[in-house]
Amino acid sequence: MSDVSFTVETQCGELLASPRDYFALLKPRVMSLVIFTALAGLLLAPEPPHPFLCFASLLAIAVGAGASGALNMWFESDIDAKMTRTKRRPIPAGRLERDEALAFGLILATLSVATLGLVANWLAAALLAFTIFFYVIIYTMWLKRSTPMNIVIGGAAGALPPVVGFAAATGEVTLPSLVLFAIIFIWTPPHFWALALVKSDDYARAGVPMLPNVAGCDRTRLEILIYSLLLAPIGALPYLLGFASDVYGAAAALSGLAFGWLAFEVYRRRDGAVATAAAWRLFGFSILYLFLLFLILVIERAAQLAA
Amino acid sequence: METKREGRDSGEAKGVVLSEEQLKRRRLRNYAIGLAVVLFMALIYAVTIIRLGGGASHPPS
Repeated sequence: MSDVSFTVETQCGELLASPRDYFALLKPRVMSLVIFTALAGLLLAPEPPHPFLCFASLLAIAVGAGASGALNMWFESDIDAKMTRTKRRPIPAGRLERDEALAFGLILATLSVATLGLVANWLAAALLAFTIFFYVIIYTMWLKRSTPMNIVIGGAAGALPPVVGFAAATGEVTLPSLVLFAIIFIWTPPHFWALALVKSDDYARAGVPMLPNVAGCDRTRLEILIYSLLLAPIGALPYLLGFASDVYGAAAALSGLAFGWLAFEVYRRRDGAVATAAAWRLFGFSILYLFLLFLILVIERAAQLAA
Repeated sequence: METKREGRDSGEAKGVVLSEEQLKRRRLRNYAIGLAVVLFMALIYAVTIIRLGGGASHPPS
């Protein structure tokens, strides 16, 4: 019998995936924002649970968000491969198979929902399951490829973590958590449309119907301005409704005005490098805006609880 | 990097032979899975103790 020697390319490209590739599937930057906003929701509860139970609940919510990210990358690997921003992700880069991402996402989704149910309560677990469902099925599979309003409706998924956090602490959904939901929900369109204005070629190449590609850049600038002007009073609601301090009120008013001004700059400057710079400025400031408001809420509430 | 499958060599099948880099990555994945399982067990244990502890110190009347 003659010797048989042959080589086999692995199914997952040149190299087997490392733990870092699986971690990248979780979209760690999105996960950190989810942890932060869910923490704000948890701390808004009149009597937050034991600190370790808070930690365990946040961990479950974070893993649930990570599972959404993995399932999103599983479904969108074709789009990711066409966009400069995403083509180095593990699946389009050939370090992971789609099926591996699907299995990873489904296992983490199941574990995170079950863990939150056991650690906190089943209302919070159901809300987390709904968030994952909404992000993966409603946003990723349906809205993103079919309507320029994808970000508006799909933004609900990103806005739910504080509601889940509050429900984990209290077992109910009440006004404070819905106000936090509203802030993120209204914040999402101007945030993503500012990015879409700059990256419209990327989205067009991938066939994603973002507003600038479908309705034009001018219409997008108008929508950004409208949402930004709506955001200013909604951002101040925690102060107006009495569950945040004067410091929060002042910060919300000033940053809301700055947000509106930057949105107006995007609306006004429509051509060339100044237009691109204005969109980048708004995109960058939008991240700072949300971070600032939630940071003040978290610090104030943590100080109250410590006292 | 290639995965080599060597056929019968001197009558003995060697199966799939992974490269050093692939072996390293597989080892890292196994460590990560092991660590995750241990941390998950510790989490469930701690949550159970905390919940039982509260119930034990404040039993329902």
